[in-house]
Amino acid sequence: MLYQLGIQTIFKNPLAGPTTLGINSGASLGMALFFFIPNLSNEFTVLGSGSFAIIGAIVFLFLLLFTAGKSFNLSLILIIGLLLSYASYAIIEVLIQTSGDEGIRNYVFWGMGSLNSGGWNEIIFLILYCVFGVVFMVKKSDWLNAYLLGEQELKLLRNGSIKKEKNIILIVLGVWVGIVTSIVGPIAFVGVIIPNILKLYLKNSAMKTLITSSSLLGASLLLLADLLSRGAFFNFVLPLNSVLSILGVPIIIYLLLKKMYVVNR
Amino acid sequence: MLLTVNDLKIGHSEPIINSAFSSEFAVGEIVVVKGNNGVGKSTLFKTLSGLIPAMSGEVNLKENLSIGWVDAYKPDSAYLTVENYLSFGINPTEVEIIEILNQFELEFKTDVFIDILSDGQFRKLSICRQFLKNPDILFLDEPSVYLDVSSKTLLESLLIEFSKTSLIFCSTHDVSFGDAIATKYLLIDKDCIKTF
Repeated sequence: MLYQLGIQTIFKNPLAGPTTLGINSGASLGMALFFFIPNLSNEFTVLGSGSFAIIGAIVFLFLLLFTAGKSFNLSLILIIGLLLSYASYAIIEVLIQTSGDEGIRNYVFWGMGSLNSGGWNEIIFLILYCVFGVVFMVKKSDWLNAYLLGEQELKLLRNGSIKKEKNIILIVLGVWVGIVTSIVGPIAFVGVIIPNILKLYLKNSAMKTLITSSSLLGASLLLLADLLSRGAFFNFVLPLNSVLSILGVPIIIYLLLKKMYVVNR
Repeated sequence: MLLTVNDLKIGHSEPIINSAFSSEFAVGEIVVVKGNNGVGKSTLFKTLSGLIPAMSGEVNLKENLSIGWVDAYKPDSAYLTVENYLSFGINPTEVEIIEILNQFELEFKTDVFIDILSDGQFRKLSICRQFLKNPDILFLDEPSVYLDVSSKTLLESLLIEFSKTSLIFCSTHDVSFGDAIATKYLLIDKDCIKTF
């Protein structure tokens, strides 16, 4: 949840998130390479697949930053993110065409998203990085707050290179996306929705408030969706991402309309 | 002297004003800057504040000055509240926030989103933020745009008060704003920057 919050802040875009910006597709591409290059997955452990996803995520993040340039235009970034995802899925499809059954099966299951696939090793690793990430975000919260008011205001407020700060934050976030994505799959939407709902209803955009509240609400919502997907209330099992998308799409549309309403008033 | 300028030429990739400009500015001055659209008022402000480099000559700011800046920019981030806008990067107390809003006769709650404010209200709010920063030098780029007559008078009196501890630069086209408070004028045209 938090890395989406960070990405939303850096790109100043309420709809930005690894899913909408195509950063997840970067991670997916990394994972696809990992699954489909023959014998590669036998030689690396799960952390090996993680590094593929991390590299994929970071490459896409900077590709996006580079192509979108300095404009940070809301729709331009979304469009470029969309194009990047198309490109990566095109490459993934080529990879699927040329690879064996085993790899395809692994990739498809991973792609449905699941909170189920990690062993204790991965979970401990994940927790350690999340703790680091949270501490990092809290430390950067003042900077990110001021960043929301525009780069010029930031320049006047303090010395030091804005570009460097931004790159450091993006790398930490990219690694985060990569690790999480490699373990649980490309989980859709939660991260885009949660910070927005909180900003709207808590009436506060301060980073520290959002860091705590979005981790809590995000984790709860994800676990609820996980319960649903495992058939806790109904008698059938669904892929986690299907559940999230069915819940998430209407909420995103609502948020888009709401934002327009606010601006047009 | 807070700010000294020697043989300054300003511009982005090449100088936009032909002859060089030198002057000195101190605390307590309200410098009103006049010139046609696009003649380089904003570029001058950016150069003086150190946001962009000078083409030639030098701008000497005293060490560790804090700088305030008001222009037409409105943050495009969604869901920023008045309180967020006033406190991010400055962290004033709640009392200070309420006091400054009262001074500017802004009567809204601190948890409303800035998206819903009118242009005039937002302009006043952005000046509030810079006042809270309490800068040594305050640059105001067309501050009177969108303001009604009574707000202009209010702003003039607040600026006089504020100039006791700061140096203020203010650009304007507005014939009904600035002349009452100016201690110095800068006139900019293509050939030179004149001061009197």
